Amino acid sequence: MADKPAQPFYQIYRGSSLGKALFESLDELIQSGHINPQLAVKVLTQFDKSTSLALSSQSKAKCSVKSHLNTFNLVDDVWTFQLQSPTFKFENNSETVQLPGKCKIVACKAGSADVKQ
Amino acid sequence: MSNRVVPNVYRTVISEVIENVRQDFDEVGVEEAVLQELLRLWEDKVATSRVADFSHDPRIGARARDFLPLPFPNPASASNGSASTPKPKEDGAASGNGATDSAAGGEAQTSSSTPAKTEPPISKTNSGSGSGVGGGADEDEINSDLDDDDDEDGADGEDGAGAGKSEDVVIALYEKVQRVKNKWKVTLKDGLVSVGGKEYLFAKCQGEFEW
Repeated sequence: MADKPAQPFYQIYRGSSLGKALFESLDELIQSGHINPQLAVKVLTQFDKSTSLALSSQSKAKCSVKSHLNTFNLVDDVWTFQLQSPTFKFENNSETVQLPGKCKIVACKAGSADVKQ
Repeated sequence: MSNRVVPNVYRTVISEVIENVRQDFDEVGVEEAVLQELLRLWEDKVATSRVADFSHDPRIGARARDFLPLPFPNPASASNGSASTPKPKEDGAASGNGATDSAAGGEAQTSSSTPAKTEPPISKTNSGSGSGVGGGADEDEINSDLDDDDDEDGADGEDGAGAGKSEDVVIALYEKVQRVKNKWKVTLKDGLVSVGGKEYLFAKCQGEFEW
């Protein structure tokens, strides 16, 4: 088993708007030939790390969500839920958001970013 | 709260990433100008994404002022949306939608004049099945017809052409997932909620679902 040089961080945050923005920007630079794909991978890896650390340290808010559950799925320590018309409450009722449609939750296991072999 | 911290957190992440990859760029021999270009592109996209109010951010501020976050359709949280609207700069902006005469939440709703690239997902009607399949970004909205939901929601390669739509998603870590009969209790932490075109961050989230 090859040893990883550093503790890997989850890549799930690449799906956020910040992650997608970065991905698209990197893509544009690759298309125009300014950077090569390996460099882009390094940037994304750094992004994974920075985002994971920022989220765990900077946000103090609490929220709750209630909804009907359409589907649930657990594969490789990743839970995926499909919700129907969820109601989100942020910061102890300072804000309530109700969605008419669907919503997906993707959650990786807390505490470990290593992939099980 | 959790939406208002978004610009700060994003600013932190962006700065940290750029600082740390500067060395990688150097090693490969790519110029600083390219790094700056990456930064500019990245900030542009974030500013136009309208997921939060970036107008106070030192770097994105000027660009973001033309793209304030959309007021939320939910009346319960209207107060959050209106907080960002009274900006005198908006009136002179290219959109020229006469923001002054419409009420606080209204100006973003006159979406006919907003820049075409960011279509607010909520205000567009989408007759999903009728409008034809050819690369229509609008069909992938939430609230479109029930057909093909499973496929298109999970489609990963779909996001080309800068569709600008955001599916509602929560990305987080889970601490505990429990189930009793059909009642699920989930504890999430350190996550990001992207719903209704806006983003929120949380340290802890309690979920209760009924299957």
